[in-house]
Amino acid sequence: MFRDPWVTAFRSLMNGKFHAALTIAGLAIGFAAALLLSLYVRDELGYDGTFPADVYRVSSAVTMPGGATVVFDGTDYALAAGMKMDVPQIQAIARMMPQDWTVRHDQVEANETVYWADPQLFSVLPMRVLAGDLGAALDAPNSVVLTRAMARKYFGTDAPVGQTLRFNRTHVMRVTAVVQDLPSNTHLVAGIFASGRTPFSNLAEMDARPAGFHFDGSTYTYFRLRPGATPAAVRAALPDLVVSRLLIPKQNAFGVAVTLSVLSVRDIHFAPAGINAMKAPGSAATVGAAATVALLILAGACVNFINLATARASRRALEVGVRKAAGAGRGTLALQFIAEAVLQVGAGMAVALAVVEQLLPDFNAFLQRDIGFPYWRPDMAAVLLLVVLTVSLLAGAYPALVLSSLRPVEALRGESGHLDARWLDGGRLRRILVVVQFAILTGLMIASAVIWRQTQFAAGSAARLASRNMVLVSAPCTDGLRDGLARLPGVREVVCSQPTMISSEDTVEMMETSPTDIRSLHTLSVDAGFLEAYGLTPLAGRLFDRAHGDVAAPPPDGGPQTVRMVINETALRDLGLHDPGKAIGLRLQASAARGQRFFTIIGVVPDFPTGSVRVPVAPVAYIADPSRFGMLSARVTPGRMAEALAGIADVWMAAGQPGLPRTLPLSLYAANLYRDLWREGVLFTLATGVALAIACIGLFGMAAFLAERRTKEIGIRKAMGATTGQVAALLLRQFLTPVLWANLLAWPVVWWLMRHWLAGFAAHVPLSFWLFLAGGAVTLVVTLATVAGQGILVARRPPVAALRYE
Amino acid sequence: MLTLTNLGKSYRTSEIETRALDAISLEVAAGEFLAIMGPSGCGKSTLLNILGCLDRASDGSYRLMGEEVAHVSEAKLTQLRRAHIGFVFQSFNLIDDLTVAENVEVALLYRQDGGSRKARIAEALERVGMAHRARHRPRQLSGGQQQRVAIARALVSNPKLILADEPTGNLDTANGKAVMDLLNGISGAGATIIMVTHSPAHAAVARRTVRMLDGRIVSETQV
Repeated sequence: MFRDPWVTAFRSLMNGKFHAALTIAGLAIGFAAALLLSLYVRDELGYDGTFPADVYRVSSAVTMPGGATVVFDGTDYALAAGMKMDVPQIQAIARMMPQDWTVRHDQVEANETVYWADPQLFSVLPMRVLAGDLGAALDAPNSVVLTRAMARKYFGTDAPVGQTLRFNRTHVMRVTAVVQDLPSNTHLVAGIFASGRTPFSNLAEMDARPAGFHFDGSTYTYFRLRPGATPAAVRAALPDLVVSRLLIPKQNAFGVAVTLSVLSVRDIHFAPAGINAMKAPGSAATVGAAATVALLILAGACVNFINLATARASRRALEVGVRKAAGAGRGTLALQFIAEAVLQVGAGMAVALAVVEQLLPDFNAFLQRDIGFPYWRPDMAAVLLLVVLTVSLLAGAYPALVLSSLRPVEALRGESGHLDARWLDGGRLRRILVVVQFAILTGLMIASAVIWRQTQFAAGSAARLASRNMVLVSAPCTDGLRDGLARLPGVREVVCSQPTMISSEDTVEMMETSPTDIRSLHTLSVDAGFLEAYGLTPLAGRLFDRAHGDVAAPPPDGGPQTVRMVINETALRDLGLHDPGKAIGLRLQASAARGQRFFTIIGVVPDFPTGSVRVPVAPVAYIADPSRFGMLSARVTPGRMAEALAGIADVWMAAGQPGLPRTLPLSLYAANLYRDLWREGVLFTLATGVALAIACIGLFGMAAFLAERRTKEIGIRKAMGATTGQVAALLLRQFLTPVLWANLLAWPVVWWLMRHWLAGFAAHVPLSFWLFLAGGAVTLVVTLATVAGQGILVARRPPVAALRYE
Repeated sequence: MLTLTNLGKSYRTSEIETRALDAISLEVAAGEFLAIMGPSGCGKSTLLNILGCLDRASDGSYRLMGEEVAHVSEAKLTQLRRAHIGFVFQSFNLIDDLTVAENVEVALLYRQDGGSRKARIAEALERVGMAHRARHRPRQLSGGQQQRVAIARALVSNPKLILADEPTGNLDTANGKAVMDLLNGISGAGATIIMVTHSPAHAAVARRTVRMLDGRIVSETQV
């Protein structure tokens, strides 16, 4: 008795192979896309899940007079010792401070970021050890702990414990332990941890400094709580620590305020990132969008299934009649149709699993993740099984109910007139579903168009940056290095500046037009010729010129100095000015050194965005202070980049610079800047493609169903003299209404969502109305193209064939 | 009106050829009322379909109003149907989604001649006595009423030739008689009617009867 429905269901599927293939393909595509998106969402939500939940990180915000705030992912190096002493709830605390070194073993040499760390780091941030003893690994100076990838890179083995590395070819460091590679979903990006007790480390150097008023936000500080303690107690202690341990009074001469905050490591990913974040933060909006799209695709696949199942229903009316006449009850029949649904949904899921397993490596490479898909694990398998059953019941219930409720007489008589009427009247749900599916499709289409346009917009500003064809070289701006680079073939010019783009270094200075009107401007020190090399021309005034004496370091005796500056348009607005011409000659006073340090505006240049489009352009005052130089920008003739990079390495060695040259082509920097946005664009475009494919499969099936349902009508109309074209138009017209309704439904929702999304960018494309019209038009064209073939085929049939259908 | 000479129709599948019509020769004058009789499967409906330009002959000649139509294109056939022919089917063939008036209108939809459609539809419905049901759906009518609507649809375009395929086959005696009276009246008004029927009584209404067997005309009776 129970076996029968499954056997029958299977045979029925085999009978309509084309139909079953269409159904299973639609489900498989939908499941595969939804699974990949869900895996991505799961990975994002599981960020830093490998660390215990009671691990916290201290971060800081420095607020300048005038309200400008700089947020650091780290805090001051001096804070940790004080926290451990003053806050009893803290069980262990450890610091990490990054520093760039050229690392070498044998013939393997590369530039790496080394994390100098306190010995107890691994008891605060537990990691899986592969070799050595983590508890004591960083106790001794000159000891390093490597991740497995680093161990393989330098030693070619997984456990080079006891072997040595050289930093900048001088300092010998001993490997004491190897840890498992960090998962891709952690905020940490580190491969080499080294003992902060090493005397030449920046951590040891900082600790050796005398106490005094200062703030440095570059030390990553993590702690764990004692059992039962809450972070609230730590938070309450923080304001006092600023005063007692960092020696920054609440009221100070500079008017700065330092605010410390505490964040669970598991919350770091979706929190706003500081200027020295190891990784770009996650976007809750993007993850939410991915989850929504996964659900929409799943919903689309269900709608599809219902449409295809009902499309086939009219053909099966006779079967229902025969079975009912033979005594089958409604329940038995419903069970059979549900069984069919389970078989199809299960087959779709099986295909989807295979597809996902195949695609996962590419998906990971694209996202730069190491997402796994252990679908055989009981918890994962249970979820997948639940999805199959839920979808089967949701999607299979409607066709099962309708079909099993047919009265045997009607069903046997096969009076399509009566059957059709029932479909039409009871088909309201189905029509709503179709509208919803079209609405999802149109919405995705418009959304991905907006995202794609924004990506193009961002890529445009990245391209402007890259088009300068610069290489940034992180080094002191000595004459030898600069002239050496300038003489290289393929290098057009070399200009010096304070490190920017290549580092997170940022200087903010407070300036005032009067003692009550204090403004914070980011000052960037550049040599004469720098602004010209980057293609900037003054809107008013002039740029720096050595002949005018513009380039000058602060006087060594600390005497009074007037600094000449060129400001950007944002700074001009921040100063309350609108006419660039009126700003020239304006004199401001440094709040930190009143009566000693003055600024005069000699020029105004357009904004020059060098950061992400998500971040507004900062108010910048370019000054020309050689003491701050630490980077060279070499402009290279297009097409000669490789040659120039090789030459730079030679000049670097010849100038006696330690280790390997630290270079960054500006085009690479620009590409990195927009990688996440580009990924979003690709992801949504692909998802839209999948939704489109599913909808087309559904439409194709439905067009077949509707054409069949109207066969008699077509015959009559043709007998009355309708031409093939007129009948085809009639069949196509029935799809216009749902498309129009879908657009009305989708437009406001997408408009609201996309306005929200674009608001996350400081600079963005307008939300143009034509995009909405285009989205609707594309849906319409795709719809017509999908159903046109079927429509024309049916319309071309000779009228006798249609009438004989009766 | 129309002349058939040695008209034949075969259906071919990969293995067998079925001869549905064989050497049919027939002349029908304008204004005639012709009945075709014969057992099931003798080719009556096939012949009617060819006469109505719904289907094409395999061989032979079919001249409709002086024009050879046996081998013209599908588009040309559509034009001929539109211009000259009205249909009445055994199973009425009304479109369920349309009202009575709209069903009648279908016969006018594909014609270019302007004129007042509404008036013509009303007039046609008046002639078959269905004017009071103009806004009903076919499902709400009895079989006899549905067939009267189908006749109104066949009439409304004033075709010169009306083809009726067992118009009374699905009706009871009373309704069948009513339909025959209608057709008789139409014939009296000048239209040519060719009707397939199983009923000798209804065939008697026509003034000429052709009997068919196995795709051939076997006898002819003229009243």
